[in-house]
Amino acid sequence: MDKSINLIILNFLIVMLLTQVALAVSISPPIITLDFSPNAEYTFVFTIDRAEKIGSYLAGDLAQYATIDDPNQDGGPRLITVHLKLPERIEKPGKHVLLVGAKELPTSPIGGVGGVAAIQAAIEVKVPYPGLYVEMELIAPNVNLGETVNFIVKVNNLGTDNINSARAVIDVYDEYSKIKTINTDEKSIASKTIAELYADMPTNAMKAGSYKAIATLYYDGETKTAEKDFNIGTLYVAINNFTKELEQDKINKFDIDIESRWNNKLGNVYGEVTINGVNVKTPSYELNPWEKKNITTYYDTTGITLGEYDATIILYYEDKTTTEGGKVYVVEEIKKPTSETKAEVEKPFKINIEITPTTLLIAIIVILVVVDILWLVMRKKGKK
Amino acid sequence: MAEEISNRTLAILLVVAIAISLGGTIISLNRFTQVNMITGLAGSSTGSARVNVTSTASLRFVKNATNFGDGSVNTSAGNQYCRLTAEELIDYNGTAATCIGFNTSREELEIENDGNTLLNVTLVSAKTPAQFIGGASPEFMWKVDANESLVCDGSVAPTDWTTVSTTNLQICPKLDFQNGNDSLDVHFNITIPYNSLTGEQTVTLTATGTATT
Repeated sequence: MDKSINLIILNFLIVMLLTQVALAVSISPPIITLDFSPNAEYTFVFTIDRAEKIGSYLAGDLAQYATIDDPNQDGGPRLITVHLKLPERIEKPGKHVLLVGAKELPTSPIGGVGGVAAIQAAIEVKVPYPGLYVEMELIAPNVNLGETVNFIVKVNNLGTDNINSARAVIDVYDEYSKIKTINTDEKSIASKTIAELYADMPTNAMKAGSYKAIATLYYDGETKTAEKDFNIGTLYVAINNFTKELEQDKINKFDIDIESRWNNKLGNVYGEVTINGVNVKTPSYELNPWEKKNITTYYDTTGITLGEYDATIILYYEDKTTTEGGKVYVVEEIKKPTSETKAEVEKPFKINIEITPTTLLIAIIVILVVVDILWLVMRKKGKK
Repeated sequence: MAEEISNRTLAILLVVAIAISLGGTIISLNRFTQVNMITGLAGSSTGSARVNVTSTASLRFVKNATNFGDGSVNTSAGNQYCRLTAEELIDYNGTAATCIGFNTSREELEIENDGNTLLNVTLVSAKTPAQFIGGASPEFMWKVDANESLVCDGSVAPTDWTTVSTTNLQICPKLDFQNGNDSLDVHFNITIPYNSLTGEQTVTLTATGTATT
């Protein structure tokens, strides 16, 4: 009885020691954007949450113009107030930032290498550039072959002047040369506003693969460029690599590195490995668009002689397959402990019993039966 | 005086009681699953609801500690250094282990964007290798990889072993928040010299997520 109690306490302690607390911290709202206005004063209220103890702070180049009103520094979830008083002028045009930070404070010591999270909301103040000034971004989404690429050129007019006319020319390159040129629509863009220019590119006559798009923006006699890589997908999953060495007389882990070249999610992707006439299969996996993944099966080399063997890996997905062949080598067992084996040896004895209505009822019934039997036995003895 | 009940009768009664208990339990459990626990009377066929989804920046350590445990350099095998990583057991130098002891079930740290805003994520170590480990030429390195695909708009860095930074180091310019594409792993590589600091050594890494567009 004592032994059982000790075992339970020991297991409890082990579980406690191995428990990792997921630490998090959040802030809301996350981003506030303002246009610079001399001597303007603002008050913002933020919610900081998700940790038992949270420290608040200010950072960024505008921190010198701000104060924080925190009713319970290092306390739990709460509202904090930030006051910002902008100066008469800011010399450098562009984006200036006040960061409102919340850092979780661990409630218990973290042993070894430990991590704590901090989160920062950004109050962005845009100081306009004198004259004409834009920032641009090219958005080129991945598609599948036959679909249309919808290019977007995002133009942010950060200058003090309005732009009368802005348009972009998008050149598309494969790995060797320019293959297409597309024009966007044309727009005027007021100061301190953002406009989007659109251009569509059908991919029917193109090949699947990786491409680069370079957009040249023409605006009131000025130019600027931005570039972006994008992929045109095809329903194909590549086998990039697989395990080449297997140790003799044991069950070996067999890894296959695969990569999706398809711009949609793929379900039920699995591999079949054939070595020395024996087939083994991996479980079924899901692959996100363009995802690289390691899939695994196990191969038993018990009784297989050392040497070189032909391996065939067939990958199944949708109604297609990818086949890859190569050599694998059955080698002598490497005499060094692996993390798995040593961990296995040192694994503490543990029984997991989940408390559910079913287990509770079964426990009650078992207790009733035991009491009944005991009563019967005792009654019989009493009779004698 | 009433006649006593025989043992046989009692045994039959016991079996019947057990059978009824088990049967009742099974029937009850089956019914539980069919019952709608929360019900309400529909007063009208239409209704309206107002939902305000707030924008939040949030960062979480899914795995927040990796404990290398107790151990030492295997100097009796002629080693001057012991190397530990969060994913390998113990580094080997020829046939002899360079380390003695230490945990075998370590894990990397995992950072997750669990808000609904893109995050620029930086990482900083509170200690240099000399402060954390001490001794002659200690090493404390990290590398970061995307735990899932399409995680980071921009480069995840460093992807090769790099000495930890005691100033904020950007590890992902835009960490996505969509479930399945929102986490990064931080791995460690520690080289302990024979004359390192002794006793329990700890170091805290701070991951900071800054909301971005």
